[in-house]
Amino acid sequence: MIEFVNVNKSFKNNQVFKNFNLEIKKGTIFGLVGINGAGKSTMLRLLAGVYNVDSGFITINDEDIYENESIKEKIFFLPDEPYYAFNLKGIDLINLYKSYYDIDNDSLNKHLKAFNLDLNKPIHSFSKGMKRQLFVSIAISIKLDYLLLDEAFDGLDPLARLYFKRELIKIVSKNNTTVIISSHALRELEDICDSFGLLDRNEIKISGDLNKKLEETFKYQLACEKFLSKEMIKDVEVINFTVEGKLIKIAFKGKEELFLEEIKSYKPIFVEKLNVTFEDLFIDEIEAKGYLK
Amino acid sequence: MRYFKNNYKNMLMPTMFLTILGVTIYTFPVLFNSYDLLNIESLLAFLLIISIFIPVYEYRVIKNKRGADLYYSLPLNRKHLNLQIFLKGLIEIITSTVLVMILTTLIYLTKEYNINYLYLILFYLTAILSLISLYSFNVFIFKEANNIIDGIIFIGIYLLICMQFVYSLDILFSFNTKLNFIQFSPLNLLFGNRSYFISKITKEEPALLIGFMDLFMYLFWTLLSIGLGVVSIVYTKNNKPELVLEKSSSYLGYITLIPVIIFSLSVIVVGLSGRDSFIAVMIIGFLGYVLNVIYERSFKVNWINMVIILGVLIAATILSYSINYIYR
Repeated sequence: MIEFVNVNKSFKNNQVFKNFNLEIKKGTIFGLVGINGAGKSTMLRLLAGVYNVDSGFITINDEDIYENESIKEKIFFLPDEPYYAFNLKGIDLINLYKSYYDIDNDSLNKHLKAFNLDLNKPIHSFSKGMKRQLFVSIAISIKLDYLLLDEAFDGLDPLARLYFKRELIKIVSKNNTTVIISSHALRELEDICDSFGLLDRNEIKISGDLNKKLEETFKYQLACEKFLSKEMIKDVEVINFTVEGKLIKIAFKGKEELFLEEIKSYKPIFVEKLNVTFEDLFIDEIEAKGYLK
Repeated sequence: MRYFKNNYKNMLMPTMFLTILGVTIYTFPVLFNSYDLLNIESLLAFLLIISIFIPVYEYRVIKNKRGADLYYSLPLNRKHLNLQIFLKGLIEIITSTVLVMILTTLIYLTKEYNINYLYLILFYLTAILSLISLYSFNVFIFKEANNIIDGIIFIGIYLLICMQFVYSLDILFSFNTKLNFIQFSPLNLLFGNRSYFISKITKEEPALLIGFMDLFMYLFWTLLSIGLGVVSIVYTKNNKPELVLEKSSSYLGYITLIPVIIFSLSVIVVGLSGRDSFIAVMIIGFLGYVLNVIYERSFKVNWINMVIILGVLIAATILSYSINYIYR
């Protein structure tokens, strides 16, 4: 299990984490979401041992990660813009990683074949998507316990994304690997993640079992004869309330029956239940904080 | 060891490049000259170039954000990472230097040079030790910077600053010691004893002798540089990827160097030019501003820094002027 305990981390005057706490269970695919600058990449760098905490602890199975070679052998971090030296060929990059990690050659060859990558070409000649395919192939071919992926789907085409998602699910079920994946592609995350954390300045705003959270959240659109505002709804916790002309969209947590009973008094002309997606959950939570409004 | 085994190609390219550079600078002039050209100075220049180039080339990977993400996330602690990069650079410079030396010696032999080969070998061994020392020194200095440009500037300054400072003290206190000022620079490692070796290799009569001070300063710089090389491996507090590309605020960096440069230059200029040094002092003040712009990466005046620079400039000018022209 990964644990963040009272973690503080600052860059100059910018405090990214303040008494930050989080637990991530073993063998899960954890989707890390948040607006730009929320601290997703910093959190992954802390987990990978690239950065050190100012105070607090980050542990894996009760062992500190920072400067711990035996723990770091079990972790692979794929940043959003991975490094490769100029003129380095794909095969050389693989050899570099082979120096430090136990790579399953059969698995790697399978992925490289699937993506149809020429390893004898310099990486700088690859397109953005091809570079991502190469790094992703390496990442999912390493036998390890923890895989940290920053902006994992960035640059991958829809087919490559589908392949990547399937392979991720396979390695989690086969090796009980814990995958922490940060992305703005929330639909992709919803397909594979079983848990998530929404990172907002200094803290995890909501986290936990993704399906459970989605089941706990409801979304309705309705139009009423009588005036209805956010403050007038008392029986449930309103996460988001938007009005477009006569149309009202409400996202809330609580008991659905209570909500339906409550709005009856405002004489609804029509009421329609909407599917709640991860994207809705994210947008509702973030909009509620006034972001980009 | 797995790294070196799997990545020999990564070392092959720089080693080949260095070897070609060495052959071009040192070996070719010997090969294509009709008279007995030893070309020792060119070999030393080559060693100086690679002792600067390789620390910059090898350590550049942890002085940019993407490289830092890769190397600091690998299953290596910072000491092992430092050791690995240090050894990689060391292998590259030693291999290329030895190859260039062997090749040139073969040319000396083919051309039947009348030289003392025993002293040539001794000189080569000393040069390799000097190269290792200077490489270690430059690695330590480069690591104090947070970006590549500052690292190169630091190396350049540190190669000269001690010599300049000692020279300024010599002028200030009129020691008139007739010191060989290069002995107070790490460059002494390469250039300090070259005349002695050349005279021995060429069987010059009477051969030059090596003085106590020459030997002492050579040993001083060797021990200091290798010591700093060890520190650059075991001291990991400056292995902070968080600071990569930030301004280089190390105490061994601009914060100390700018006042020392301003002080010693002012003392030298006033000491040498006397009452006519006003414009030169103004230029030194402007140099202080330029160095501050490089440090802060902004043309905006940082008043605290400028007060320090102007304070040092005025104090050094008054001090040098008073000692040289009033009390003497």
